[in-house]
Amino acid sequence: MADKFETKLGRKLVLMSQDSGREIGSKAFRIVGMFTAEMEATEKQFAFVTLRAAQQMLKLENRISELSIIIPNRHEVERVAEDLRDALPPSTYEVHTWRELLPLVNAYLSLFDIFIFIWFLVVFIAMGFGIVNTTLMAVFERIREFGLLKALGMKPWWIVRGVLTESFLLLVMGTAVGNILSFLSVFALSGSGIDLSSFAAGAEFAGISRVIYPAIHPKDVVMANLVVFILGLLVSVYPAAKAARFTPVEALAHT
Amino acid sequence: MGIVECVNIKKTYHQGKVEVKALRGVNLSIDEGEFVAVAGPSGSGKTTMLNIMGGLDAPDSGSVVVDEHNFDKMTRSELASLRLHRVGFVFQAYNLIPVLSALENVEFVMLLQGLPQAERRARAKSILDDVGLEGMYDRRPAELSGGQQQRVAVARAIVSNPAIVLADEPTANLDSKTGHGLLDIMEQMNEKKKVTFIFSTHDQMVMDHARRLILLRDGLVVDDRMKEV
Ligand SMILES: Nc1ncnc2c1ncn2[C@@H]1O[C@H](COP(=O)(O)OP(=O)(O)O)[C@@H](O)[C@H]1O
Ligand SMILES: [Mg+2]
Repeated sequence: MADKFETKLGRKLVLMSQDSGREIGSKAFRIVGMFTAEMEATEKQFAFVTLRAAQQMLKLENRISELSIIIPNRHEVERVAEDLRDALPPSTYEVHTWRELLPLVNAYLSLFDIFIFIWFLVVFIAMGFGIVNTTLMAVFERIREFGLLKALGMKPWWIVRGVLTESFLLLVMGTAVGNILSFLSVFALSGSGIDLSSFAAGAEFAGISRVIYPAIHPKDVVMANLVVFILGLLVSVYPAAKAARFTPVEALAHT
Repeated sequence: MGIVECVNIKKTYHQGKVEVKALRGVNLSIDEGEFVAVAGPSGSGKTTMLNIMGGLDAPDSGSVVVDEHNFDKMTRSELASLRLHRVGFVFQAYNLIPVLSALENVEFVMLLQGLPQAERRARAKSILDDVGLEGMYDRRPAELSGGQQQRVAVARAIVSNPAIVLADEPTANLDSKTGHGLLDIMEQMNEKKKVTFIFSTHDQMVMDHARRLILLRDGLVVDDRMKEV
């Protein structure tokens, strides 16, 4: 910014804007400091002046046009907005959340949610096929054994139960290893964050910051594990039923 | 009423468009305590007949009654339960569970039946002693000779006091001396424990051991005679 205006600290700069009387208000300021933001766009967007100076320049006297509030927890936004609407006279104050003021960002975030959903869908479908494949292989490899067990008097239902127990153990081990790996990687990256500087141009366009800090939400962890387990057991029913349906003769003839 | 009653059993296999009539109306009645050989050339339907008597395979028509249970009216689960408690099998290829020791293989059936560990142990050991395998309890099938493996299989088949033991060509993989030994063991068990044995064979030497000989040819019983011992 400073380069573009060929200026530097200590020199003067004149700002102009429409004032409250719909005329051009202007005022000269001395540059006392500069800031660096994650994104160049942010730097271009803002110049900070004192409240008094701004009120003078825009002939606002003691009034202010807008008050922004940052709330520590973003999930509280709607509730705080509601409380403020109740607390302030509606004729004087309008209360808007950032979602209402930035519909584009809002739409973008919804789209992003859909992308995430599709991504999960793809991953889980792939996982389902992986499990069916593994379990089917494990079943077909042992068709003779199952045939023998049936000939000796093992009930079909016991075989279904056996195969399901096996994939259950497989799932327990798989999710345990998966969880440990993901906790470790998140833990390792949460300190420094994931630096996207090399993709900075793209990241800026997307309006996200250059460093992403991964975090774990217990709800996500529980949901993911639950989905994996239920899906895993559901898709194992097919190989299990397959193992139980073979007649002992077919199975023993199988080599 | 005999322990096995088969009336007009028919079974046809379909191999693509070709139909193979494996059984064309077999009638059989076998009494408790018998020692029966089902004999006939290869392809005459012996295996099919034994599988049907054991509920491993269903006939196209005809009725099978084993130990007063009519197979027609039974679900697969009930058939499995009948096999578990009333039918023992000895297969040509031994079919022991390779990861279990001789003792554990014999115990396995009783494990499925839900017998307590101590009783399983004691009965399995006693039956292995009966078939001449004392001291080999802990050997895996791979560490036993063919004849010894088949003795374990016989022990497994009779340990739960079944109504019948079905043995499909039990000596086909054994040399004649070992085969003789196995038949002697089966005969002893038949006499000592009153277990009904039904075994198939196409070997004359094995037929000579039987007290009753049922001759199959092209899916029909062509001869059925008792031998005076
Ligand atoms: N699974 C099968 N599919 C088609 N044909 C079969 C099958 N099993 C047996 N057969 C045919 O049925 C006939 C009787 O077979 P089987 O009962 O095995 O005779 P055996 O045991 O006396 O040699 C034979 O002609 C055999 O080829
Ligand atoms: Mg055969």
